[in-house]
Amino acid sequence: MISDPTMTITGARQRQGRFTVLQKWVSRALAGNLSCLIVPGPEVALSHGLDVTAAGMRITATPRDASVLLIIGELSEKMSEAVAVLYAQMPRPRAIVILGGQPPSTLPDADFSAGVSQAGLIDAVDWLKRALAKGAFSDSPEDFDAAVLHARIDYVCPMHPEVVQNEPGSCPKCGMDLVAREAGESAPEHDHDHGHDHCEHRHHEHEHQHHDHAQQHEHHEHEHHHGHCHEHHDSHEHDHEQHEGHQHSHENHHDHGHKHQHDESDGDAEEKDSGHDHSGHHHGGHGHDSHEHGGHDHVGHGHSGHDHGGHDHGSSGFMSMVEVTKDLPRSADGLAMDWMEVPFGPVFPGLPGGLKLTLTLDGDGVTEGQATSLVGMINESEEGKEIDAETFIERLASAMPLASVSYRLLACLAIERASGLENDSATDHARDVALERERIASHLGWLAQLGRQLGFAWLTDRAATLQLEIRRASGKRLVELTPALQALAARLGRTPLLKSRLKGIGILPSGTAGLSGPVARAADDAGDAWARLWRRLDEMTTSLDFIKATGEPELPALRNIGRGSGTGEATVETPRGEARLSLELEHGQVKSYRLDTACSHHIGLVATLVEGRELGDALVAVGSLDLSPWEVIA
Amino acid sequence: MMSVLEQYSLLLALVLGIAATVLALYGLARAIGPAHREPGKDVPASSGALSRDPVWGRYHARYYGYALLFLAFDMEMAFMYPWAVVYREVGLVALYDMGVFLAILFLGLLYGWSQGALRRQ
Repeated sequence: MISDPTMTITGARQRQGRFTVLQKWVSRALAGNLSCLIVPGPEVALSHGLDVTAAGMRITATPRDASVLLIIGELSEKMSEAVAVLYAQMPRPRAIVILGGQPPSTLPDADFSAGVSQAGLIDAVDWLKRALAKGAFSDSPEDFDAAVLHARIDYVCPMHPEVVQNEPGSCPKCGMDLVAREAGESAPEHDHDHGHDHCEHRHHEHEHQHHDHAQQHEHHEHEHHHGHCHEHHDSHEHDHEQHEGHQHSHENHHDHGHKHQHDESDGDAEEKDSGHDHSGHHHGGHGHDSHEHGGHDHVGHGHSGHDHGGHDHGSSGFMSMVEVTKDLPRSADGLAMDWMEVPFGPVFPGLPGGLKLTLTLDGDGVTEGQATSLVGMINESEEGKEIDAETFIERLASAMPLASVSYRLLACLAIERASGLENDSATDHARDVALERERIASHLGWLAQLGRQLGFAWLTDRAATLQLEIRRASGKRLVELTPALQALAARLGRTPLLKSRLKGIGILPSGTAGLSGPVARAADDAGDAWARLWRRLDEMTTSLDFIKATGEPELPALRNIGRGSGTGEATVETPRGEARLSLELEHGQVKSYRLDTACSHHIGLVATLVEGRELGDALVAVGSLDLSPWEVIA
Repeated sequence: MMSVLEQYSLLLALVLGIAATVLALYGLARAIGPAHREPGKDVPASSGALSRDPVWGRYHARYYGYALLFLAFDMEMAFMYPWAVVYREVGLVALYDMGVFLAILFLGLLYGWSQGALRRQ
């Protein structure tokens, strides 16, 4: 388990020469104050029963404050990229601990890895304390690099979004210049600077000396830029003779728009004059002194990508706000403002890890938004691949870390029904108790998340402590914990400002399609975040009563199905809503399956919930849905 | 009372102290070890993605309505300082004068409120 016997961590800090007293002192201080960033998120640690604080680490919300990166479980490819960014942002010395998974390809090898268990976590902290005290500084620390840390520039056509190339060139559909864009960005309208970069870039490529004069002659500069882009792109001939010819015969060349531009950007002061000429005749005027050339550089490409290209040298002055927002869509109040597309997630502290909420912000208001899951399960088994029933159950349960008991139960039920097994009431009761116990634990996990989002540290602490206790508690212990749960609910009712924060936020009326679980039941009341909070608190009480009346919980385990075949369907009311699984069993092997979950539907409601809201309200609304990105079926 | 020279020496000591603190911080950072230049470290990041977007943007400050109101009322406070100086001399009349002045201001606030100036845009 210990990867390096010399006790040097992979993210050690550079040291020159010997280990000084000061460095020794700093190392000890760091080892005594471990702060850890949990990926995918603290809620996953809690639902696995990991108490990070009790193990001796402080949980932080930002990589800048973390010295340990704690990864729980396997990460999807997109999560691996996010993790690489987090790791790059962590200050050295830094260490990686992986519990129950393989190191992501984007990261260096883990400093310590173990299974997902509290014992493993405690071992990891012990090891980290020793390793940081001894090996926080190294003569030759490993460099860290990942592809995701480097900006990749795509070239896209402003008119045809589907045209994306790796190199500059022209659009195969319309022949327009491709505009540079950082990979991963969406609309080219939003990135006013990149068009500019693009032009500049070509500029250098062809070793022209225009830049100086462009800066001196601010007034002409704007279209000169465009001229360059076109010139280099379409033609590499700079024939001075031909160029002169144009100057003297504009009347004959009214249709030349493009060609003129190619020539005009040729080198020196004289060429600048030609710019005037061409623009002049474009506008119908013919004098050399005509300065109205704004129009002609838009011939064939009057698009914002290009307009913004020159924005910070425009005639309105350096860094003009008017130029910046010239062609952007207007806000609701008619003001031209920059809209920003901001990602919240996949590792945003206020939302469950793995959930990516992309919001287009106009100031602090949300213009539009959508949520996607980066960790969601892929429906349908691979064609022709049969999975052993037990393996299938394990796989489904581990794919849903926030509600593993529910999905274990769902898989057991579906398989047992497919094999034709009769229901056994004793087993059913014990399983139901386990399901209700998980419901309480899951709602507590949501409360802890709510506390993290709203900044109620006491709520996070208390809910997390209770969740860890209830997760695997016996029926008797659960009854003993009843007063603690009631006290928590009572305190929530007394918490100042909580009601005004949640009331009227994220309203989903009862007729909304696709509602399920507590969200649907809260829709019968007010249907807002406040109603959802109280619905979940009520459900916790109801579940406790059920457990009191029924007996001891027992984790669902597959009964003996032999080598049965058939099809079966089961429905389980998970903590987040109804989950339905239908599968086809052949000789004890799962041949194909189909899973439908509440979160897959709820995630689609995010767009309407956030639209037109303030940023804070939008985040609270999304949080109140209790989305589990794991339970979103792709 | 300190002499002018003493006051300046205090100022000088403060400046020297600040400079010494800054230099000490740099020295400490150097002693702990050189920084490791790596890709992605000095780029702002948000929620697991590097944020290379241009920062020169036109941000919609929706609170500008309140901000303007606040500024207007805050500036009126400036009139209260000279008023406070002469208050004893002028006596009760000064209190009435200020009362009328504040009442007019308050009416302005009520008007702004009625016109929705305090509502979020």
